Amino acid sequence: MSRPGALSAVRQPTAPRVSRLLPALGVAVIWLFLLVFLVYPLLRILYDAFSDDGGRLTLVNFVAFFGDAYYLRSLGNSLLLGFATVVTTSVLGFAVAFLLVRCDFAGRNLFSYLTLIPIISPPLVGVLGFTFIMGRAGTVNVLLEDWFGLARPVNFVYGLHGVLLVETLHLFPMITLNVVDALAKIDPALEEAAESVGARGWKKLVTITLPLTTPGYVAGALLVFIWTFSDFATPLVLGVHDLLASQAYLNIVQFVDRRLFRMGIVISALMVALALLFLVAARRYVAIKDYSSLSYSKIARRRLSALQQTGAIGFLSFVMLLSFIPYLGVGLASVGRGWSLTPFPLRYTLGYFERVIVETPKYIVNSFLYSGLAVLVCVAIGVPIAWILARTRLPGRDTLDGLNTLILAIPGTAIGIAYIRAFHFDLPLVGRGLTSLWIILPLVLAIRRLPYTVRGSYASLLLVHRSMEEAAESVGARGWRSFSDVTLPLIWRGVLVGSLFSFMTSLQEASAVLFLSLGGWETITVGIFSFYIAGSANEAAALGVILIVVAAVSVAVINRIAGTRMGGMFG
Amino acid sequence: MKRLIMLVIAIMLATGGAPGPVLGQAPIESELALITPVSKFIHDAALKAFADYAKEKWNVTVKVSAIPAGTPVAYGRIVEWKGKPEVDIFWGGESALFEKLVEQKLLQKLEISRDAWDAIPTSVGTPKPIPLKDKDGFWVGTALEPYGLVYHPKKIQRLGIAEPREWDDLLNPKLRGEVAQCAPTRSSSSNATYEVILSMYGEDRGWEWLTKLAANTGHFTARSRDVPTVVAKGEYSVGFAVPSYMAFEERLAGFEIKFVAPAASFRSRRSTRSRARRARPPRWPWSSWEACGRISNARSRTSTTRPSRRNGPTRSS
Repeated sequence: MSRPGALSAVRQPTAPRVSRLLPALGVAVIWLFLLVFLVYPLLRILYDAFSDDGGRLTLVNFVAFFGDAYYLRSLGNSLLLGFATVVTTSVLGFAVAFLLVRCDFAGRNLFSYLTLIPIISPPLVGVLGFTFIMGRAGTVNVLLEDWFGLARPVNFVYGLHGVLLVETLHLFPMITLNVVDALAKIDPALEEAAESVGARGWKKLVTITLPLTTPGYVAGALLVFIWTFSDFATPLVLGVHDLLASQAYLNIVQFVDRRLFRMGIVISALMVALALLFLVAARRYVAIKDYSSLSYSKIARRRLSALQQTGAIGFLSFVMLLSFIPYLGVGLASVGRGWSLTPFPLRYTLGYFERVIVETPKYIVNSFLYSGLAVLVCVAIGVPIAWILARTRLPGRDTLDGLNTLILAIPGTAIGIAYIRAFHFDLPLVGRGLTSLWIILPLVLAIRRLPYTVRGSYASLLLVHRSMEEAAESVGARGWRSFSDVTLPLIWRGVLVGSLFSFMTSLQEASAVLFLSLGGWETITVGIFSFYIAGSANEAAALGVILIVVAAVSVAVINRIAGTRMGGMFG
Repeated sequence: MKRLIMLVIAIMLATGGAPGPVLGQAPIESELALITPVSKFIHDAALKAFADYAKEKWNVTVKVSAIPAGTPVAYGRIVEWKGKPEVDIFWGGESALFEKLVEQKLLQKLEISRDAWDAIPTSVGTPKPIPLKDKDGFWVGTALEPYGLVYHPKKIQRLGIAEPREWDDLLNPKLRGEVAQCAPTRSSSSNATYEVILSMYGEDRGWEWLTKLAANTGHFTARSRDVPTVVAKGEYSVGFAVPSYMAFEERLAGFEIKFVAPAASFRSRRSTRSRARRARPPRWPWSSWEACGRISNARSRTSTTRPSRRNGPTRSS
């Protein structure tokens, strides 16, 4: 970051032509990839939103949207839900982060790993698991009715409040991770200075500590907001249809009424626009407030008294217990037969696992194949992007950074539909459209999960001081040599963590893949939807458990390598 | 899938009247793909039976696959494929959508032997007859089955009411908040169930009835297939259901869900099958009637049924 110039291009005036051409070619490939697979589909969906069936440009779709009370209510509900989730996850996320970073108590390391687990809740089965425990016929209600003679079940989940509950317990780790990261970067001198002028306790927290976590926090909050904003599976299972994401999904998957279909595209485009708006606003806000340091400081943890320890452990255990509800539900459903109106299943079987592992292994095979390929693309494109961002001043760097962050903000539904609209034409030579080639799945996964690889690599590149590479160059190791001998050994962890995160989230990706998958290409998440659609929630749950196990192992590895520094991944 | 798609494109171009290379007589292909709202339990069995038949008859190993999709979704994807379908056969759904596909020239004429075709009556039912096959041979009905109700016996027992037998039983005030249904705008079977009610009571009384039902409804599911799911689990007590779409895999999965077809389910539905391209066999070795037979077996084995007089599962030939 500190010195300008693309390495090999500027520093090796005597090098042969090829070595100057190669980097330029590489940059061109990266841009081409992003333009074709990100910018073009998004422009296409925007064009669709602003045109009629005859292809003429018009504003009539948006007039129709804003003239429809139901859509307006959906917009209002979506915004409300998004902000409410940000508030609830912030309270929970901050409290957990603070305990984990600033206090010392028995089991702290265990809790810091467990805190990551809620994020990996797979789409659809997470919320299904939740209803198995908290639904009207869930374990809790059955116990209440059986033991306390409750006449009617308590409605914990069906409705907007249920969505809020599920999203909060699912997403609060996003805040925790980012705040942990930010707290770890706070220079202790700042807080000591505050104490020296008499600010202690709350005062110090509110005036010094919290403001210093702003950049990390805002990044996390933005992700929570966008995630909630664009999640359609959770609300639909819980019977909430008047949300933008639900409307986009429902309108697009029913193509019977072309007008509704067009409205679905319009809503998708609107969601992209809103996501973009919030993204820009958040970056502006952070940009004027950024006074955190880049380096991690040594943290002095406060040893808690026995009573405080009990309190801390009790609080964390309670939160963990709540956020593990989906896993309990999914786990029981994957082995329980005919589980209904009893607190736990009465009969157990491994048949569902047999069916999804032995009889139809395609889900697992496809998932690993596509996610693996996607990660290769992520590394091939993402690490160079991180390099460009951290080490060069190439023109268009900011745009590159912006695009990379934009990906995080675009709802998967919108990407999925954008790909269908953009790539359903016959390619020259191949004679078929990209949408009928399975390669489109790894491609869409790679685009969707690229930011994690980029951010992982970028964060570790920042931590490698430029002077180390310069030292290598001063003793004659130029270009690639200094990169492979000095930089690579120092950044591989970041790259690995980033790619693992890309891999894990690729396995979890459902929204875009659902729109693009054809017979024979089914991934685990598509399998979950297919089984669920077919009424076999048990097989869906079995696939869900497999996904959870793979993700939990990935997270354990990531946690091991990256420690608390995972927060940088989302920023 | 590769070879298949090439063929499909060629044939669709030919049918659609668009210029383009036309393959001659289609060779025997080795892949068959379905798009269907029909339950996985049934379509898996049908596909397997087809593969076995092809192996025995032509010694061809057919790779079979299916995209499970609700009827409107399946229709939408076919339209969105714009004459370059990724599947061969669309199985299931209301005839209205098939007629819309014919209008858009997205279907191909079926090749069914004259005898088999003639054995299927043109229409059935009163007061408004329902066509059972397309006059130009683009689609053919494959199953007649009653619309009905699914319910959870244990929940019904807990609520202290009798097990539902008739549509009107849904309006019992004790079922307040216990009915699950899918909005008729989201599902062809919900839509048709509303038609049953409306043709039974007439417009005014029908809508009044449906308004009362809305008061008892606790949950609008995203798809009609979700209704038996939530009822089987016990989340809700009762809802609408169609046997072949749902086939009550819940029952096979060990749930206690029950199905009943009210006597007055006279607006019957028809599961329709049509080919998105030329299929090889001269007749349907795994024909709908056979599949339908399977359903009725599965149902009589697994749940209480009261086949209605007019619309019990039909068997042909």
